[in-house]
Formats: sequence, C-alpha cells, structure tokens
Amino acid sequence: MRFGVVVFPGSNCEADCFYVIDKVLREDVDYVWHKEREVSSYDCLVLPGGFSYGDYLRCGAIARFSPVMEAVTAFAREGGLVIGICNGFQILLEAGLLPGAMLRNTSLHFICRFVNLRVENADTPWTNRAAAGQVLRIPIAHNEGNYVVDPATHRRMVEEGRVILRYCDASGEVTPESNPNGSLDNIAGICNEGFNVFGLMPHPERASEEMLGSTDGLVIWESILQHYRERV
Amino acid sequence: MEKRELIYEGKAKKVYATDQPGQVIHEFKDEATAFDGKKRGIIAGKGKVNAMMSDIIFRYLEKHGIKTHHLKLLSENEILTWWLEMIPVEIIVRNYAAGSLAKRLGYPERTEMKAPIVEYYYKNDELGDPMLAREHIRELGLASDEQLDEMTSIALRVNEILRPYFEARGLILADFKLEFGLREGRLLLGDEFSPDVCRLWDAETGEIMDKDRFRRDLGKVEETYAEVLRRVSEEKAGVAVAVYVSPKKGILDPAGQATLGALQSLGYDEVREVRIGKYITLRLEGVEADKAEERVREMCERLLANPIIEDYRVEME
Repeated sequence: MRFGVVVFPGSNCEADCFYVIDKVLREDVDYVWHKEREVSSYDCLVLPGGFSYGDYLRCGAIARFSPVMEAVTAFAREGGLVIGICNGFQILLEAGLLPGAMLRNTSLHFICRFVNLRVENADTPWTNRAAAGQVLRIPIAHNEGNYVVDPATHRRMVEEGRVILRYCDASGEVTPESNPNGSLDNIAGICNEGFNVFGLMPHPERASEEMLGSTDGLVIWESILQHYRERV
Repeated sequence: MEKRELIYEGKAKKVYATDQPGQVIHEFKDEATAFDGKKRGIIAGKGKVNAMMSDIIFRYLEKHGIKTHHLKLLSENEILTWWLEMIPVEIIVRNYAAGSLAKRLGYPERTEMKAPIVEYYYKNDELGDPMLAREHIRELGLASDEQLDEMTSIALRVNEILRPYFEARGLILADFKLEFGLREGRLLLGDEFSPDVCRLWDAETGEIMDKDRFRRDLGKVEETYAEVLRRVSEEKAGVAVAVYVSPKKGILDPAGQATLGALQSLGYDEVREVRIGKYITLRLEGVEADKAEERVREMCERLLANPIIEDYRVEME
C-alpha cells in the first residue's frame, strides 16, 4: 500500500506519520509537498498535525487553499482514502471535506496528554480492527479541538454512524468530565458521507509503539491496511 | 459657486475669482507651449487631463499629510482652490537625468541619481526662468531660509509619496516641478500636477509619457495624456476596507467567556457579554468602488471568516 504524507509549511507531525508507516507498518510512503498537484498514485493520503501557515487567520484556513488541496479534494471526491490528524483534521474542515468547524478549547489551554476514545463505529476503513465500544488510549495535542456543527448535521452524522470516536473515560463512559476541550457531543473523530475521509484530533502516530506508552494508534493504521487489502 | 473676473492668465491656465473669499477657480487650457514660449500648439483634451489628474494627485497628497491649495474638482477642466500668494521659485525634484540636468552633469539621459536632486528656478519669463542657488534666492528676497527649507523638505516628501504611486501604475517618475504659495501666512503646495510639469516614463517599454512628446514632436501626444489620466484614475478605485469578524451568536466564545470572567473579577459587574473577534483592514487597488464590496464579501465567505462559526461585517471607507 502506498501512503502520501502531505507537508504544508508549518506541519510538524509529518516525520512521525512517515516513520510509523515506513518502520512500523512497513508500507511505502512519500512526502507530498503542498505545491504538488498530482496525488492519484497514492492509496491513502495523510494530512498530518502541526501549525500549517502558522495557524494564521484560523487553523487550516490558509493551508486549505494550497495547490495540493485541489488534488486532495479531487482524490477524496473519487473515493480516495484521506485521513486528517489534528491540524490535518482542521484543514479538512476548512476545505469542506468534512462538516463543522473548530473553536478554541474551552479551557483556553493547549492540551497535550493521553485521552480515552470510544470507537463508536467499527465498520469503517479506519476502525475495522477495533470492536464497537472499544476504548483506545491515544494522545491529543491541540489548542483548537472544540468541535462544533449545526444541530441538523450533527443529528444526521450520528444517525449515519459518522461520529467515529468520542472522548470517554477509562471504562468507556462518554462523560462531560472526559471531554478535554468542550467538543460538541464529545466528538473526537468524524467521517464524511462516503467514510473515505476521516478527521480526528488525537494522534495515532504517537501511540504506535510500546515504548511510547500505547500501541492503540496502530488499530487505526492497521484498519487502513486491512480495508485496502480487502478491497484489492 | 460663482465664477467671477479673470485674475490671471498663464500659458496653460486661467485663474478666476469666485464669490467665496480666498477661493479661486483654475481653468486648464488645451494650449501648450515649450522652450519659454518659442514652441506653441494645442493638445486636445490636455486641459481635462491636467485638471482631473491634479485633482487626483492633490487629494492623494493631502491624504498623505501634504498641505495643498486644492479644494475640489468643479468640472472636467476646472478646479477650485485656495488663492495663494505665490512664491516665485519653482522647485524641481529629479530622480533621473533628463533634459537640462543630463546636459549639466554630462550624464547619459535616464541615469538614475544616487539620491533625489532638488533644484530651484526663478519663475520669471523675462529672464527665461533661470536656475538659482540658495544665495540667489536670499539675495532676491524670494523666500526666507525657513520657507526654502520647508519647501525642500515637502518636495522630497512628495517625491517619496509619488514615486511608488506612479510605480504601481507602471510609470517611472523621472522628475517634477512644484510651486508653493502662502495662504494666511501658511505655506501650501499650489499649481498643478500633470504630464505638463513632470517627466513620466512607461516602466515596461520606457516610452515617454509626458509633455516631452510635444516638446520633441514624438507624436501620439493626446493619446499619451489620456493614457496617463487613465492610469492615475485607477487610484480612485483604491479603497480601504475594514472587516470585522466575530463569533456567531449562539456559538461559544471561550476567549470572550474568559475575558468576561476577568472583567467581572475586576469588579466590572455591569459587563454581561464579551465577544472576541478579529479586525482586518484591506486596501484594494485597481477595482471599481461599486464592485469592491461584493469582492470583499466573497473574500469573507471564502477565507476571512468561517461562516459556520463566524459572522462578518464589511465597512468600506
């Protein structure tokens, strides 16, 4: 399987994603520069975390107009797999590939710590290696992860199973206390209607090796591989 | 405004009294002269170009802090100004060698000066407008040292303002002439600013875009004057825009909430709501004013605001 990790000026998690795909998953991976206009040779595109364009104006607002995003949008519209992690998620929101927007964390703090995530839908390209209701322990690191969306869209997303990950406690209870940033309905990760575009605030690439304290992130990476193999 | 008696007629314009004390009307003529009146002709439409361009340039200078005699454009070829008691010294600022300066310094035409050069000329037709040194001006009592210093510094400032202005319109400002006068003891920039009193070269082709076309029989004189006016008219479309972006009603504003809490803890109990947004200023050029607002709204929808969480308000200057 061939991954492309898209690099914007100000991205800073691209090397982590590249490392996990290359050294842990042992799959093909390239960096894709933000000026690139051709991405059709990839099986999955990763929009990594960071501070693209300094997060000026709004997180992801400028990155969303970089040349590569036209190609990413076309790729996604044709059903290509696109995962946006943290800042990558924010870019997907700004680009309109996923619904909603991000506000600042209610605490106004940059939060960098492990959180618990409940897998709400295990029948997706991103979570097929998990069981529904399984709790994943993966870190977050962000200042703007307070997800909002209009009530009608929210209702539809819940009905269609497009809310993929919710912040929860260690036992899997979705509680206000386990919500780190004020996100609507404890939402941590969502999909588009076709389930081929996935955005999440937690960083699976930071929880993919024992020595990092958790390998729960591998559930997501390996789900992508499994989905790919089943489809091929 | 009533146009009254003719009080002055020069080579390129007439000045009329008005019913308003201290205000006069400059009527720009199509007649052109060169080489101290030895060459004469008509440049059709020149009066209009010079009046309208002077209006644009003087307003632009006023906006940048230069005090001028300008009040307003009255018609195509008439401008209302304050009446000035003119100081008979012409100030020339030169960025490039051209005409007499190239000859005087032995420089090839179009050599760029290391720094802008300021020259003084005696406004005196009988003497043929000779160049003056400071001491000559003092000797003739044409202006005080303070006035001359002030005129010099304003002239250099005008150069700093207009060089980039013309550059943005694809024109090199090679040199220009200014005249000053006094109104109630205050020094104001007077006269006109037009292709008659400056040298402009097209930045791309190097083509001469000023009165040298007439002086040197280069042809296309009328067309060139019209083209210069067209380019400076783009300034009219230059608009300043303010965009206010604020969190939508009903959308949580964590920064506003925190600030509200801080204000209340300082004892400002009357504060009931704080919303924190962004204030963005834009300056647009080369777009017509009536289209500008539509364009800015589009910019807001696409980039400056996120309509899911933010409202915006556009204020055109």
